[in-house]
Amino acid sequence: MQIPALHPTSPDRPATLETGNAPLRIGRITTHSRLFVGTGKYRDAETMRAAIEASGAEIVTVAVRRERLLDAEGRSLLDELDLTRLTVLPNTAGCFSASDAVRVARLGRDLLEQLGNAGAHWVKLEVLGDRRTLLPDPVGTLEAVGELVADGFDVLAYSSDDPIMALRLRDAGATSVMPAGSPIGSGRGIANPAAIRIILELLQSKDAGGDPEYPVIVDAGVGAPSDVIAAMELGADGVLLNTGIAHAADPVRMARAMRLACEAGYLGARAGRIPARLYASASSPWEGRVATIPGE
Amino acid sequence: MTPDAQSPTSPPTSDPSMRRPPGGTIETSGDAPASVRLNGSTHRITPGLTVAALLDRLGQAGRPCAVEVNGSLVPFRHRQERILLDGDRIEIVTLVGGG
Repeated sequence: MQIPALHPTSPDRPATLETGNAPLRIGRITTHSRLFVGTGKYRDAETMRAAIEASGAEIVTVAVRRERLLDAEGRSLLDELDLTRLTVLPNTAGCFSASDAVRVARLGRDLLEQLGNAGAHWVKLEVLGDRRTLLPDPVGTLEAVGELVADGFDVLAYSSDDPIMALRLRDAGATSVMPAGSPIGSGRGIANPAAIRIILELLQSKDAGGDPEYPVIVDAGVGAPSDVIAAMELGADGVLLNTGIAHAADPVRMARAMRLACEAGYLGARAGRIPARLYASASSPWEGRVATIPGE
Repeated sequence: MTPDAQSPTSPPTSDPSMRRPPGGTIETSGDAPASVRLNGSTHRITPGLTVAALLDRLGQAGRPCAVEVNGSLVPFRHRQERILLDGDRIEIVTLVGGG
């Protein structure tokens, strides 16, 4: 299936760009890398630091969890991250209700305000519906978006790849919609490219009542650099991933590969790819060839 | 864990849980320790302890954390004022690796 190109046909986006790192504005935050990386599941802190560096990401996600009060001597994640350079995006992972997600978002904001980090104003909202699939609960997510927006948050709403749900989240005030490529940590990539593409059309095409600057970040399920390229070529504004880097055999090398894939996909989406065709089109001229063609 | 009582430093407010009692030292009659749930476990604390004092007793004072009591955030700037009472459910959280 060939899905028509999005960006080259859009008059609102430049057809050519010098860099794969064109700035992306999400609410009050502007990032120069379109790859967002998580900080979970690394085998050690040193690997995590090196992988974040290699990924080029400026935004890292974190989770809010109970302090281990009896083991408070150990180093914390906050000791390992360069908070002068990185913007923290706290998530509400593990929440199964809107009310819990709102609580966790407020706890994360209070922590980041203490640290003076720019990430204090936003949250990656996850309201999960099921423990095994970790698929989002659309009803709870929608409810939480309303509460968090009213409380002053820029909400980046993790969602399924349902286009109508994406519209509802935007209409409820979400700063960005983050459709899942496939279930969290599954490594199955972009399971339904057409759905992602329709989300992009509905949210960003002026013809569909969209805003070309409305950020759509593909989140979850990314296993390989080719998945990142696929998401970016579809027209996504960015990709968020964690497990695909953290659980790779060589996380630092994979982080670099994901970074290059993100830039390649970004540029490719705007370069105006050729249409796919059933039959061949010779690259070398027919004119002046010395060979004969059998039967002609 | 039996942290000592500590007097709050804030002015009185209309919220009973944040009111500064007369005399400074906070004790209930008979000195019965307050039983609270702290990160899911039951602990006994001196009644009237503030959130700030509790964090100090726990060795958390210098570590970034956020605190919730009975489902509501206790903002960083209110820790000196918020008094803990018998039956309170306290959550002390930090940031960890996540996606």
